[in-house]
Amino acid sequence: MSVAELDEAKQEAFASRMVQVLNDSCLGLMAGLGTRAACST
Amino acid sequence: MAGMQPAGSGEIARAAGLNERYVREWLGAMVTGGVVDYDPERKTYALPPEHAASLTRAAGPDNLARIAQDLGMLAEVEQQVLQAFRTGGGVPYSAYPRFQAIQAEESGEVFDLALVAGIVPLVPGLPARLQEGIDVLDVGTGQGHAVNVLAKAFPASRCHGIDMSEEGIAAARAEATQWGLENAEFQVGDGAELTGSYDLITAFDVIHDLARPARTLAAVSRALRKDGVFLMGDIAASSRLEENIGHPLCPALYAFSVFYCMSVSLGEGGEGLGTVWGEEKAREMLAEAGFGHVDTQRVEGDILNVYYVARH
Repeated sequence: MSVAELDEAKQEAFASRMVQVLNDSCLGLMAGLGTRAACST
Repeated sequence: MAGMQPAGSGEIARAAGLNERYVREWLGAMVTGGVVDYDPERKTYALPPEHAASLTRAAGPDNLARIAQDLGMLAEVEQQVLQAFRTGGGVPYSAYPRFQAIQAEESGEVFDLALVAGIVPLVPGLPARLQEGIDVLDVGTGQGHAVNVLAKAFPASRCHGIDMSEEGIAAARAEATQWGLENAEFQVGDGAELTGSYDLITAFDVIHDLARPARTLAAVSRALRKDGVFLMGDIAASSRLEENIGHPLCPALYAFSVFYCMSVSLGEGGEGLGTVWGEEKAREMLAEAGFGHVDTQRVEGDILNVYYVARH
């Protein structure tokens, strides 16, 4: 499949999902950090 | 995997020069997570081109997998961040040995694609002045790629970069030599202690990381010639938390702040501005540094950054 044949809607939907994955990964990292910090006090 | 025909885990592992068992387990996550397609009859894997467009180096600045690399780096310092939650203080820059290389790769793609064609033209008249020849300084230049890109594009201008990192400056000089640039110079030093005077000073994604951002902005203001321009790229967000609700990347930005930007600044006894210091705070600090006129500009397609065009 050439670049010209890319399904633009599919590409945009996947990119949006990956942005959400990044955010959710960071939230998970922060949630774990918060749990560890709170449990250690 | 981009550009490969559907292939088994062994073939993919050989193409990447990696261990098949690990690659197969990694592929398990990619398939069940909907990133890679799997044909159970042939036991082959394929990365759809629409997905590769967001996940490979060929995607350039749109490569989200490149940003995802940061997560592993951040996780490496979790114990030190946890300690700082308990006792205050921060995390030393030395705790991030991979940071500069990752940052250089991320920003390098942006500079290659957008610095000359998209960012410089945000300042009216600046491309013409650079063509004629002016003195440029990039504060917190890291591995100096922005300076080298400018020096190559505008050979009549004299482009300088300053950074605290000896390793970064060495890489910057090596690239300048490799490119045969005679108008790019680099110096190890503190942006808060600038000497010399310049027509254009830039700082890309730097100020909020600094221990002494107010002193650095004041030094920039002093070093800027009359009619000079300070072009500061930084995170596009508000200083008011409630206005960042719904920002497409804010949870990640706050995480990056806790795991790097704020913590490194605090670790140096600094202000700990944080990644999401925001436009209101930035404008306030620019005004305090002596910039009477500040415009903000955005580059189309860039959801992460805002560019401040500041003058006396």
